[in-house]
Amino acid sequence: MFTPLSRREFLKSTAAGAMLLATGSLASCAAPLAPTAQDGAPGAAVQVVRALMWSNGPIIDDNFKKRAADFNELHKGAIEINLQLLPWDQYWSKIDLSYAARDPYDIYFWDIQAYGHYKAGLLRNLQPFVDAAPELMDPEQYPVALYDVWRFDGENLYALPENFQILAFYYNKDLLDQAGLPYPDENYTWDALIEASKQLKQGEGDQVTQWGFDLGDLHAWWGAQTLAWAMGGAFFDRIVEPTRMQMSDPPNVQALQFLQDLLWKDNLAPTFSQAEFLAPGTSLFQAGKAAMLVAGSWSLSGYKDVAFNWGIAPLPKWIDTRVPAFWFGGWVITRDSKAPEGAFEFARWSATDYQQTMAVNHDWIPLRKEARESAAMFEGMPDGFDITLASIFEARLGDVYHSRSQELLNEAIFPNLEQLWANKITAAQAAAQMDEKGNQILQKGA
Amino acid sequence: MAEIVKEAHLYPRGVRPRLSRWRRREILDAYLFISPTVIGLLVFLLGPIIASAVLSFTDYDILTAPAWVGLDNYIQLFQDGLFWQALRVSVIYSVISVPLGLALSLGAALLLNQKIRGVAILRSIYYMPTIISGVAVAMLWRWLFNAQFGMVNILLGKIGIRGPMWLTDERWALTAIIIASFWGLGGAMLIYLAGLQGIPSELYEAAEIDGATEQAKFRYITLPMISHVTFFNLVLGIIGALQLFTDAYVMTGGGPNNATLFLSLYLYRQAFLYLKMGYASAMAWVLFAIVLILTLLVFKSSPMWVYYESERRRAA
Amino acid sequence: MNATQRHRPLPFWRTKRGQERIRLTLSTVIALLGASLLILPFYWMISTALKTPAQVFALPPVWFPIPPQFGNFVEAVTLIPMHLYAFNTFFIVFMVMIGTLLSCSLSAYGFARFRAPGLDFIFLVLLATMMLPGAVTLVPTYLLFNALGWVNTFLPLIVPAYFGSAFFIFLMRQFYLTIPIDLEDAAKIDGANSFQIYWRIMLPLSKPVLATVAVFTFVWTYNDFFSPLIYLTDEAHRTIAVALSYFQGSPRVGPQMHILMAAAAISLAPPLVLFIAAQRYFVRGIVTTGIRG
Repeated sequence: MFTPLSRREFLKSTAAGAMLLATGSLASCAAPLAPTAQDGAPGAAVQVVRALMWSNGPIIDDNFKKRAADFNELHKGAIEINLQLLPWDQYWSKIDLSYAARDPYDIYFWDIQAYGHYKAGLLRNLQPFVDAAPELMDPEQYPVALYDVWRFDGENLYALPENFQILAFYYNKDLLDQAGLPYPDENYTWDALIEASKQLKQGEGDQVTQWGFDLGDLHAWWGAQTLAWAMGGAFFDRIVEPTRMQMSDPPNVQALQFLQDLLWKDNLAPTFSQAEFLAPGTSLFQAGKAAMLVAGSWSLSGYKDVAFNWGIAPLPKWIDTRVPAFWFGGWVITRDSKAPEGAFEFARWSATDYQQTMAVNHDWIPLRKEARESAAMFEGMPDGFDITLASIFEARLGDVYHSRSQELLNEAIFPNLEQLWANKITAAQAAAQMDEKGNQILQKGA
Repeated sequence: MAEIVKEAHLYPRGVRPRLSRWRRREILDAYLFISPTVIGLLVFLLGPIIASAVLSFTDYDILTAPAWVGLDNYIQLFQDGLFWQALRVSVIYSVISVPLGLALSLGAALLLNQKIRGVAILRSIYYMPTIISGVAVAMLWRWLFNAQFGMVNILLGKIGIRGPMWLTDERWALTAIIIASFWGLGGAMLIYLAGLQGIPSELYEAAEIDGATEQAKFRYITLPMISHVTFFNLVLGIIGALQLFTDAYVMTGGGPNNATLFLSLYLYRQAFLYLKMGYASAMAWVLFAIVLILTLLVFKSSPMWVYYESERRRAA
Repeated sequence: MNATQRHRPLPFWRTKRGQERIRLTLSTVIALLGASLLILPFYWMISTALKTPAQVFALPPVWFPIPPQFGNFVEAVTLIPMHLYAFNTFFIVFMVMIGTLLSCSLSAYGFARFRAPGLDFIFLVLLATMMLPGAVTLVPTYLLFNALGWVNTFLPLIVPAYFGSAFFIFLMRQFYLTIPIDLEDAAKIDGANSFQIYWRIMLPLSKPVLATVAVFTFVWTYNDFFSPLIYLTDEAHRTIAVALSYFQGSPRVGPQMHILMAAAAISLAPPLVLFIAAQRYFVRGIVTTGIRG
């Protein structure tokens, strides 16, 4: 059903999307991994690959179907990919069920749930394939320095990236023009943002008719964490397999406090109630009632139809530091797949040859520089899209990889952030409660 | 349930009664008539149910084989604060929504069982909310309960009440879900409507000749004559209310501050989000025990208030 | 009350006909009031379906989209060709309806009218199957159908309907229990066997409840998107409800509300038509007619 545990935080935090990849040629990687899974007659060696992706609505789904068709056309006689799409909730249920039935898919799209599959030993080490496809590791074309987050065991890639998402800063040009304010750029700071918010806000209390700034995805833990990062903190001791939650570290508390003050003390950004009051069921930014917003790059397509001019920029800097959050989208291949070569070829092809089509389709942001910086990619995109994409090189992963991360988020983090944003507890209290519950969960082990 | 007790008394333990041919015929017929159900139970239902009972004593992540942990899940359950919160939410919801829902659906059925002009269209409108499918409903409810532009608060505003922030206020979110549940009263109404059709009109005609008032007719004819339907709606209402899932899942996701964390929602989270299927199974069996006890209570009490035409003679 | 008054004819509103008229008028007003509350969300649904994307999010809300975007309906049907999925949908719905009506009415008759050892216990077990949340039986059930080789066929959706459903058996049993036993006794004396009594007497007498079961089965099967999604992953097997579920977007890509609502509105039509058609079985007097027939 739509919006599982409904709030935007949950949704977006579970959504990581991107992908990946790059990789090697099929022929050369067949050697290291033994299973040559053809069950057909010796001559007719068409490898059938069962792939699963979640649905993103009819238009993007169609692009995925076309992608599979193009791939099959190119690999006729060798590989045939059978791509199925399922709505988000059923996507994960079906994957779990297929594991339970000992009949897993060959390849499926990564999201944080798949880390649990890795922990259960169900995912295949892709490193031998990647080693055989050096183009995937070309530092000129791919942000390979960021790939370490998908080396879950510290050495080997278990998922191949093909696209990415980044947390960004959206602004309404019309409202900024009216107030005579400059457009944010890559040097915009939180100080400038606060000054601008004071000028842009119209009305007081229940009667506010226009806001300068909406926290947007800063309400989510991974959004708030970008500010803590810039202040020198981090919510966990590490992203992959954290052992400790450290919300009570001073920079983390400072970041939470800063955001809470923005809502309640200075009231320069709307509380949930105030936002809901002015713009029900939509974002204030989308309704033209907030001039600036922090939101993921996935919102780009949603704002295509709004009735005002807008642009996008990297997150504002805290003094002189900015650390945005990014996410990869990509594919994982199952340990028991009988067609790993064909499956990897699809992932490799998606991360290389297909990247330009991705840029043209505008559904995902391709990882490969050629495609990412192509004219097709920029066409129809707002001003500042280029500098925003470039900020990925300052970014860190906006996730936490642990087999209990869902529990961590739902039981330790969401409820306390909710209380914090509702001004029912202080930042220090929220931090202490998150640490207590969070570390309790982490100590239960994998 | 009552009959089984009678049977037991008829045949002392260990004694195989000699049955008349007629009686043997009846028993054979009975088993023939229910045979599809018995086969269905054995083939499709009991296996998975027993499996879930066994899994409740294991640590099972769906992905890999379960490991036996004995009573651990049950012990952990009783120490789990969220489980008690979830139980509390489910019980409060059931206690309020079941009786109110029964009254409202009976009221609607009575209203639409009259010779009102356009009654077919009216019935369709009352039933329509139960036809609409899940995806659209989520949107619909968020809009209805929106603080400023939602229909609920607009209507309250018309009578001078400033409505609350329904779904984002922990004091009101559960109330919103209860109100939402009444929107789907069409199902129970339809069953009542079918029940009302079964009341012979002669009864009312006779009562009118005796000069009975409308209230008397309702009290002494309608209510008893549809008590079998009330019985059904009550049992199913209890079962349904304690398992309520979709409304909470789409409207609040359990928030704010766990104010609408229904048992089934928490169970789903454990099963499919945290992949703790063993723990979820233990929770499901505790819920099962609660529902079963309540249902048995209703069954036991039924001879006092449920009237079956066919039992008139049996009792005599 | 004195003599003079007694001779004067009663004013209209105090006559029996007048009282009846007042009662009906009052009922109509209340029923209309309730109906308008229940129908408002549908108004919103339709009006959203007729909006432009910008109007969907406009503030204050647009109540009457002008000009109405009828093109949204065309787009919805283009994006999900419902007519292509109609065959799957109605095939499943029809098969399930037949199976449910047959198996449940048979079993319900068995439970309502016979006494045999273990019958009540079996009935209780049957009811108990409704009391365990489906979330914990999903995995074993899936494994069962997988072992049977039924995954990716219509069988998991259809076959169980032929083996009874606790809800409907309970419902029909309740109705059978209210039918006077004398009728059957008369038929027995005439030499009818149990099956003939079931077929010739019970079924015709229980038309309102059969219609109720039919409507419920139709709507539930029609709206069920979860089971088809889990058991049928091939696109060729999609049903209308399944197709609709692909409109919800994902955590990252929100739904296109206007198209979603247009599609949802279109999908409402078949169950609504069925419900209106089933209306005649809810009309007072069926029971009496049945007896005479």
